[in-house]
Parts: sequence; C-alpha cells; structure tokens
Amino acid sequence: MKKLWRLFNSRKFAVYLLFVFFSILVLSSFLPSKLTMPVEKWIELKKERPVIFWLSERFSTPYVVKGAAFIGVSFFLFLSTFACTLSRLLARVKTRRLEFEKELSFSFSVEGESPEAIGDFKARALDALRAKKWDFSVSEDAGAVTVEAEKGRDSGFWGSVVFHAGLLVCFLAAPVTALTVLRGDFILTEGVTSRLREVFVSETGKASSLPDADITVGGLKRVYAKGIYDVDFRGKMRIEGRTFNREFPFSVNNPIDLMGYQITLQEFGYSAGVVMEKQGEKVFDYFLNLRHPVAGDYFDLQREGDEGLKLYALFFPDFFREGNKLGTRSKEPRNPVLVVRLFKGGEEISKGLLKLGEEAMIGDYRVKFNELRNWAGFIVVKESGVPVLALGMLIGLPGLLVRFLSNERRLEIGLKPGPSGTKFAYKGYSRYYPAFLEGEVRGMAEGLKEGGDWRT
Amino acid sequence: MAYLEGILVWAAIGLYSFSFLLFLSGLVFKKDFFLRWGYIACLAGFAAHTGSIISRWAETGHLPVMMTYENSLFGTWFIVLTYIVMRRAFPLSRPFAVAVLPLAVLILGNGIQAGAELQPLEPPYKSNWLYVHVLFAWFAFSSYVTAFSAGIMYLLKARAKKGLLSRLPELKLLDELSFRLILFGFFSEAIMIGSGAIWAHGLWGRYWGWDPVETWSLISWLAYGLNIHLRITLGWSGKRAAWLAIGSLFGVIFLFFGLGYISEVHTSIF
Repeated sequence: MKKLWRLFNSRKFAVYLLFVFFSILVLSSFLPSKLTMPVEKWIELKKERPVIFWLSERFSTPYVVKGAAFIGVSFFLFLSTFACTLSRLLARVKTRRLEFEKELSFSFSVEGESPEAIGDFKARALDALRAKKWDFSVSEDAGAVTVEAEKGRDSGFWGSVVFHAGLLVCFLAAPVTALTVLRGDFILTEGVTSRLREVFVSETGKASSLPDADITVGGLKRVYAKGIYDVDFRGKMRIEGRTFNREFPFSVNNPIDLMGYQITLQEFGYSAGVVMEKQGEKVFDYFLNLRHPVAGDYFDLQREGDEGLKLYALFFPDFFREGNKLGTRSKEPRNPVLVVRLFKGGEEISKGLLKLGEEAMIGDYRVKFNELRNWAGFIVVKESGVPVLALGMLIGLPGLLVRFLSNERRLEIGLKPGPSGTKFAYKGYSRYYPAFLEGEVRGMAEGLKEGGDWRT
Repeated sequence: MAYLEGILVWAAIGLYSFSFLLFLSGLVFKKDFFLRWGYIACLAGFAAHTGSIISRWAETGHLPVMMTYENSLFGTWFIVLTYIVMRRAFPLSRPFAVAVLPLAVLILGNGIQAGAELQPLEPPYKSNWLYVHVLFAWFAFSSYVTAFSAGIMYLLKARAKKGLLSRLPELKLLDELSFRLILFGFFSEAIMIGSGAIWAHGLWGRYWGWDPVETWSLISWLAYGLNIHLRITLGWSGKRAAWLAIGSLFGVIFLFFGLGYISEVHTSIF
C-alpha cells in the first residue's frame, strides 16, 4: 500500500501518465469518426476501406475514450493528481516551508559598497522593500545586518493547489454524466401533435422517465440573408401535460428547459404534404420531412398489393429550369417545386414534377403536393455532470490565474561596515524567473548604492 | 471582402512585410535606426489591420469570427497586439518581430486564399459565449506563437553568441518570457475550453463530444500542461524548454488551421 501511495504521489509518475493520456488522444484523433461524418459517408467507408473502418470503429477518439484502457489511464491520472496535490498540501501545513527552498531554485548575487553609514543604508534598503511590498525580517549580529525578504510566497503554491483541486472536480463530471445521463432525440412536423414519450428515440436512458406530455411545434420561422445564408431558425413548442400547459419559445442556442430536461433545436427542414391516390382510393396522405436538400430522400410506402414501393422526393424551394438543368435559386420558398420519383423493386416506374398545390399522374398514382410546412429536430438531455463541471471550472480557473500571476522570490541582504561606508550583498532566489528577479534586484541595489531614486 | 477592407488588409500585409525587412536590416547591420522604423511600420500595419477589422465588422454586422479568413484576420491581429504589448512591457523583446511578423503575414495570406466572402453570422454563433470563447482562444494562440518565437530566438542565440544574433535578448530572459507566455496561454486556453463546453451544452445538448475540434483543443492544452510540468517537475529549461515551446505549437496550429483538411470541424448539424 505504501509503495502504491509512493507511486501515485510521484509527480514524475503523474507526468508520465499525462503523456500516455495525451498520446492516446493524438493517435485516435487521426482516425475518421462517425460523429463528424454523414451516415452515407460512414457506410461508404465501411464498403470501400474496411480496414480503416474497422480501426475507426474501435480506436477513433469517441470510441477509444469509452474503452477500459483510456478509462483506466484517466482514473490513474485522477488518483495521481489527487495524491500529489494532497501530499503537497500536507507537506506545506507540516513544514510551512516554501517549495523552492527545498527544490532546485535559481540564485544570483549582487555586491557593492555604499559611502553611507550602515544605519542609513539599512533604513533606505528597508524603505525600498516596504515600497515594493516585500515581507521581511531583520537580524543583527556584531554590527552586521541580515535582511531576509520574500514576495509572492503563498500565491504560487495556493494557486497551483486550487487549480488542481478544480481539475479533480472537472474529472468527476465525466462519471457523473455517464451515470445520470438521459439522451435522445425526436422530430416534429409543424402543427402535428405527438406524445413526447412516443416520438422520443433514446440513445441513453428510458423514454418512460420523460414527462408524460403532448407536444406541438408551431410558428417555425427561418430567416436567410440574400436567400442563401442561414440567419435564424426559431419557433414555439406547446407542451401539454396532466398538470401543465405551456408554450416555450426556442431557437438555435436557446433551448427549452422542461423540468430539468433540456430540449435543444438541432435540425430544421421543409416538410412536404403529399397525397397519393390509386384508382380513386387514397393510399398515402403524409408530411414528408425532407432531410437531404441536395441528395433528396427516399420513403418506403408499405401497402398491401404494392410491396416494395418507394417514393423519392427532392425539393426545390425556389425552383428554376434552364434547359435540362433543374435547381433552386435560394433557400426561401419563393417557387416551391417537388420532384417525385416512384420505385418498385429498385426499378424506377415513373417520375414527375409538382408545384405547390398541383397534382399529376405519376405512373398509376395521382400525386398531389398539397401543402408545405417546416419540421424541426430536437435533442433531449438530462444529466448532472454540467453543474459538477461548472463547479470545477469555478474553482480551477481562479487558481490558475493566481498561479499565472505568482512569482515566488526571496532575497537575502547582508550589510556590514566597510572601510569607507557599508558593504552590501544582495542574494536572490527565484523559482522560475531568475532573470526578471535579477533585473529587479540589480536595479534596487544600484539605486541604493548611488543613493538615487528607487527604481527596478 | 469589401473594397475598403481589401485596401486596409493589403496595406497591413505590406507594412508588416516592410517592418520585418527593417527589423532584419536592423539586426544584420546593427543599426538602431532600422529597428526604430521597423517598430513604427509595425504600428502602422497594426492600425491598418484594425481598420480592416472595423470595416468588415461594419459590413457584416458581426465580429470576424467565422471561417478561415475571419479567424486569420482576427487571430493575426491578436498576435501583433501581443507583440506590441510585450514590446512595451519588455523593451528587450523588440526583435521578436523578426519571428512574429512573418508568421502573421503567412496566416493572413492563408486566410485570404481561403476566401473572404462577406456573410452574416450563422445561428450557432449567436451566443454570448462566442465572445468569451473566441477572445481567449486568440489570447492563447497569440501567446503560444510569441512563446514559439522566443524559443526560436533562444536556439539561434544559443548557437551563435557573436555577430548578428548577439543582438537578440539575453538567453535567460528569452527562457523566462517564453515560460510566462506559455502560462498565460495555458490559462487563456483553459477559459476557451470551459466557455466552449458551456456553449456546446446549449447548442448541442452536450458539453463534450470528442469531436475533432474538442479533442485537439484538449490535446494542445495538455501539450502545454506537459510543457509546464516538465519545466516545473523535471526542471527542464534552456534549450530543451525552447524545443518544447516550439514543438507544442504544432497542436495549436493543427487545431486552428489543419483540422479542416482531415474532417468536419464540429458536428455537421447547426
């Protein structure tokens, strides 16, 4: 147990662990990840580069961080940081000594002689230290004077300890999130009321833990600049439960807070209302939530007698045709047109082009593009890791700031009577900034020697 | 880019390049005159650079924080600002311009060739956290770049103590400036990561998702964390520390400019 404590208490061991943690992240980050790839590209990678896909599925960052090796290293790093911080704290409380007194610290000395009497020189030297807010003590022995002065004694140490304590709290956010998270998503078409628990697709956690409520989105609004640049997406969500009925505004970056569940807008698209009839009988009457504005979307039309029937829809909000070229001039619905293609058993059977409100015969079907709405996709999250992370940052960042501003330094000034005045020797110690301290003290000593102004 | 902005950006590039030549001449010919005028040219370039940012801001209605060109424009402004502030605080660091200005010109050039189209602020960027995140990102980047410059100068000066390079600042001072800058960059990057996490939670419903940008911002922060620990715990200083300051910048460069070449930056939705 003692050996283990000694190991985790070693700052070198902590540095090595940090290096391993760092290396795993660097290596894994070069592999493609599903997280930042459209589904089609991920499938393409699987087909065309199976070795890379195999490696990516196991060793790209989002996967490797969930593996036992990475979690183990992180845990050891946590223990090591904890042990090192605790032992520094205990040593400080016990010995009350500066760390740089016992560790390797840089030193230098400046010596000289002043024509002043030792008493006058000492008085000016102490005034100078006072003016620069040094803490000092004076001792005298057989006419010789020794002044011991310190500055920034505590700030570096406490800054570092508080920063590492904050870091430890941030570390804790990860397991707290993993243990408490509920996460999933849902899509809603404008004006269509759904049950939250039914439309919710869970990634982690159970839908049954969500509030039992009906949800409807309305007033979905999209704003573009020059018709092509995204400027704003917003709307309102009505949530109606047994005991509450409220309307929440939402937009990108402005999620809804429903009893601790954060509902965040993630996607926004056009929804085309399409009705299909075959021989006078209505066979399809739905809103098609179009998610791929460039490639188009496929929908399975499962129906008895028409097995394997698929509908392909490609939407042009501001349609134009130039010869054989079809396209959209902007993202705004100024001239909405829907291209519909019908497939059966993988073969295209017919296709057509419909303006909003138009209907046409496509194959055996009378197809009508009767309405245009919007749809919105949301992510639902509830977890307790965020406040832990925020607490860790609130603790750690001020600590780091203090650590950055700190400059622990120590001065020993020796004065003794000389043949024509006072002999002085300034000896300085600085843990990290000896050149800065040297400049500071050299200026101090020169100023005193010449009896001039106090300058560093 | 707008007409006025174009004129000002190119004026800034020209003045920075001219300033670099003057600084180089000052070091080669040991003439203080060149160094003095080099600094004046740098200040004039900075004024033009500031003007170009204001012009773009007025044109688009938002701070230049989107995409490669705007990031280059704003980022290099921070780099030059850091140099000017350091030059005021530590006059001996004046020759840092020899390393800082060419980097600024290169980054600006890379930004311009990536395209400088005027665009409104996209919805994901409409968050107050953006300002905290971007501001500290550039504080960190400019500090790291300046520490990198100090590292380069340290190695040059350590190699040849006579002639042209003898006019560079003292080795000890370079070492300490580099460490101070790294500490400040480390602090700024911590705020950048923290504010980014809070922003991400409101935008994507998660504070950390291990996407390439998040992963590489952590990697570059850890690289500097290692850097600091190697200095403090293992007592690395001098040449080894200079190499550390140079090597650690790789992660940051990759984070800011290289990621776009290997994958989507953040998640693809909003």
